[in-house]
Amino acid sequence: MRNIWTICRRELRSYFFSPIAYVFGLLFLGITCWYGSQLLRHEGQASMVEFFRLLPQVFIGFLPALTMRLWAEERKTGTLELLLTFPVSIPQIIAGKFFAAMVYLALLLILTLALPVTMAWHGKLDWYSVSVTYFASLLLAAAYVSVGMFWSSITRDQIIAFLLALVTLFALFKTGEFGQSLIGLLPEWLGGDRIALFVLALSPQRYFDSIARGVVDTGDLVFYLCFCAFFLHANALVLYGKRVKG
Amino acid sequence: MAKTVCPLPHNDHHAAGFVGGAVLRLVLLFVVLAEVAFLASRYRARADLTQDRQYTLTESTQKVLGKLEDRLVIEAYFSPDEDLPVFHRPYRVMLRDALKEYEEIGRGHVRVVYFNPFEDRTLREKAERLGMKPQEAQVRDTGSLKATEVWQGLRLRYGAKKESVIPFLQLAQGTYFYESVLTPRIKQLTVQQRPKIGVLASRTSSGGMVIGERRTPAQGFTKLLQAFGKDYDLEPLDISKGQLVRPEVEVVLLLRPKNYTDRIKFILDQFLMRGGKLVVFADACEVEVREDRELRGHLFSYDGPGETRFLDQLRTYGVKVEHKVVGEGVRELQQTFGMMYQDPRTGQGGFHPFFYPYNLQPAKDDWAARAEAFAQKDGKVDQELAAQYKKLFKPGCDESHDLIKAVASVALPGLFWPCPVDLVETMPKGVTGKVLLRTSPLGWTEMPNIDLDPFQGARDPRQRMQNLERWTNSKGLMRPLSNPTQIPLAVFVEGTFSSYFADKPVPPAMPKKKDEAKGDPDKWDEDPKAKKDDKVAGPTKPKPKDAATAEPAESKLRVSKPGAQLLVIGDATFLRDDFAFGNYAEMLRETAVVGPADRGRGQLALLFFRNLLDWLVQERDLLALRNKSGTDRRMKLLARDEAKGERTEDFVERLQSREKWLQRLVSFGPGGLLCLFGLLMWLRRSAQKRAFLNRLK
Repeated sequence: MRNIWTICRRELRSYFFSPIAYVFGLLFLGITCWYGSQLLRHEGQASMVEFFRLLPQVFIGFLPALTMRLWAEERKTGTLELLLTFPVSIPQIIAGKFFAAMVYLALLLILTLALPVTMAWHGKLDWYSVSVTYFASLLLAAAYVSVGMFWSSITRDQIIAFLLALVTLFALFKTGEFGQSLIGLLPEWLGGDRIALFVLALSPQRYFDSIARGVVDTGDLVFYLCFCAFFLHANALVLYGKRVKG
Repeated sequence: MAKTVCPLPHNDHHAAGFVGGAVLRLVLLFVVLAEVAFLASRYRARADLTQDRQYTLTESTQKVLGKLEDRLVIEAYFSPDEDLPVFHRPYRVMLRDALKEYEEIGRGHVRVVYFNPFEDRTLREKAERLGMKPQEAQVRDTGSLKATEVWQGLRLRYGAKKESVIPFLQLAQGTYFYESVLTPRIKQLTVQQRPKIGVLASRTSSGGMVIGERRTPAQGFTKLLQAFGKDYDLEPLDISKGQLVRPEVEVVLLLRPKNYTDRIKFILDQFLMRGGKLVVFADACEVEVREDRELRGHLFSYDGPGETRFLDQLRTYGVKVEHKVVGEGVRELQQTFGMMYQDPRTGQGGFHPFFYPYNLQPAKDDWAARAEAFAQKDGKVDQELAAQYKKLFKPGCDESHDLIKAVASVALPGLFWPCPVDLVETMPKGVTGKVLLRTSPLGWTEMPNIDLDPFQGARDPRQRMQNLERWTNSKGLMRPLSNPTQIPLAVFVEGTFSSYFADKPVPPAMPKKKDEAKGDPDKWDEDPKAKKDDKVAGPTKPKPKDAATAEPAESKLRVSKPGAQLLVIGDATFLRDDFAFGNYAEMLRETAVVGPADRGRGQLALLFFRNLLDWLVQERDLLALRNKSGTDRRMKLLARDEAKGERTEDFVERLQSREKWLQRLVSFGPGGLLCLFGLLMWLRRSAQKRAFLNRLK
């Protein structure tokens, strides 16, 4: 655990002692908070629903940019080899970097609390529901970060890592709609609605929507755990590969 | 220090096969994790953490969905969310979520499919063909308002044959509203047989009147029963041969009990004893509304020939009905009569409204909170009396009771010449009851043989006005100001009832026609024309061949079975055809434009009756949802300065400036905080650097 924390601190320091955190942070907060501020109208609903509908889309553009440098930069600067020689296991390194990204994102999400606080000041906001949706946002972000980290570990070029992550996240985002459109289309010999339901089940957005309503379902939580576990494990396999290759 | 462990051997030979192995591991991991996620979705626990528990469908819905045997497809014809006014979008999201809940609880039996009627012309035509109707809404488009069509219709298809269409589902603040609409529809599609409601309605003294070429509605209950017979399985209670109520009848409605024989009382008693739900709409007298709004009272008896008394029977069950008329002393609760007045000689006319104390609207007010208003003495509040009244006074209706919640939370119907209905002083063992409706503390009762006509039968307009004035003044004097009393108007009792006939011999059935004519209650109040036409005859169902015949005395039930309930409302007139459906205001000549039978009040009575039927035959938690209102989450950015009489323009200006200020605060505040944090970090970093360099020096 101490090793994970050490890596995490190192990563956070690299975020906050460089302009990266601030540039991305300002961009993220600028978009989300400006959009959210438009919901502040007299007689308007004190509801964060619209805000949280935008958030996953902002994540798709923003998180690949955040994660593209996590491994690619290490490889480019040659610090990856050095890092792998430290007396820290690969899963610990991955977990450290992953949690650092999550801490940073959590900080940004905390800053967006200005919107619900203002809403609660002028109307009756359902804080339970809002809290659960923030939690759902963190889970979705965790899923997206794990995808971004995986692609960052594949290539030493940050732009390619960014594009690959962007395409993957966008595809995952659209999976829900695609699955929905498949319902009733596929013939029975092709699996019928089972294929459509399988495609639907792959979409992290679907589970986010489910939790964002204010309903915590163990099935949704397990999905996110499995999703993150899969991509982080894939990330670890890539790093093992690098080590094997030397 | 943790040791770096690599699961794969470090040699070139194995490294070559690493990619293949990694891919295989990933595939296996994917399969395992997918299986775990699948199992987690099948065997899961969920917690609805919303404040209003919005996503917790009632047990009734879960039961209905759990019983689905065929596939239920919900086709949602929705225009895009973006086309909705921005304030309504969250409600649409709630609706989608509610549908999602149905899908999830349906466990594969429910499928929701969305269609956008704007996407395809054929889809739009199909929706129109199905009977869906869009509604117009105003949306903001680049600063200006534009009208747009909103589609929000649903088609429910169950199996291959059954379907139901909701032309437009209103947006509401809570999922529970959608549930209260959807579940009964689904239930209608899936349930084979609806519960039956037996009705025993007494004939009235007037069959309507003819004014010019128009005929006023009959003053009975025919229209009421015809109107509701389509949606509910209402049927005349077949007791013509003295037989007991058929087992499939779950509810019996008694519309104005009148001339009941011993046998009828026994039939009703045994119905209650077998666990039935009995609803009594009792009147103390019958008031006929005649031409020129002349009111003519007719007295009647609850009992026909026989040894027993209907009021005693109700007392046995814990309900005390008095053969009196209730008056209401609080002006705002009295219903207004109004008459268009025209002097035939001068031709001058006008509108003269007046308050009529025997037509009253029970209020939801908590009269205890208004105790001080009733404790005035010489213009000052008598605190001691006020404290006494606070303890004594009760709310006008018991909103804690699920019947009132379900039936009357929108508005209570007006009552006309009601009679007092109360609980007996000592409730029978095993029976509990509640008073549901009360008058204000200025209520009173009178014997029904009083003169109810404010015009005193006069025809001359001036005489009518004079009589009215005299009559109104005399009624004003009757207010019992010295002793405020709330008169109970409706009660609900349930529990284990004892039979009124427990110690009495079973009255014989009436096989002989002669006896039947003598003792039978008034026949069904049917329009002779309607009788000829079976299609419009309303709740006339074919009589079953195997109707139960009168049971021998030894088989009578002495104690009620579980489920027995008795609701007694001290008025039947408000459901009378001329009051619920008629509109005297539409009548020509010198008649009232405002009165007991104006359209709005009639609709309230019908709404009350519909809700009551739903409450009697449907799952009650669902009905409670219908009238439940969500938390009002509208934001109030500013309050208008009423005290200073602020002008609208000034208020709007202040509001806009406040909106802008808040929007800027939320837009730039978080970013500003991040920058401030960055600045602090930079300063700290610089200080660390300087300290390091200083150390080097």
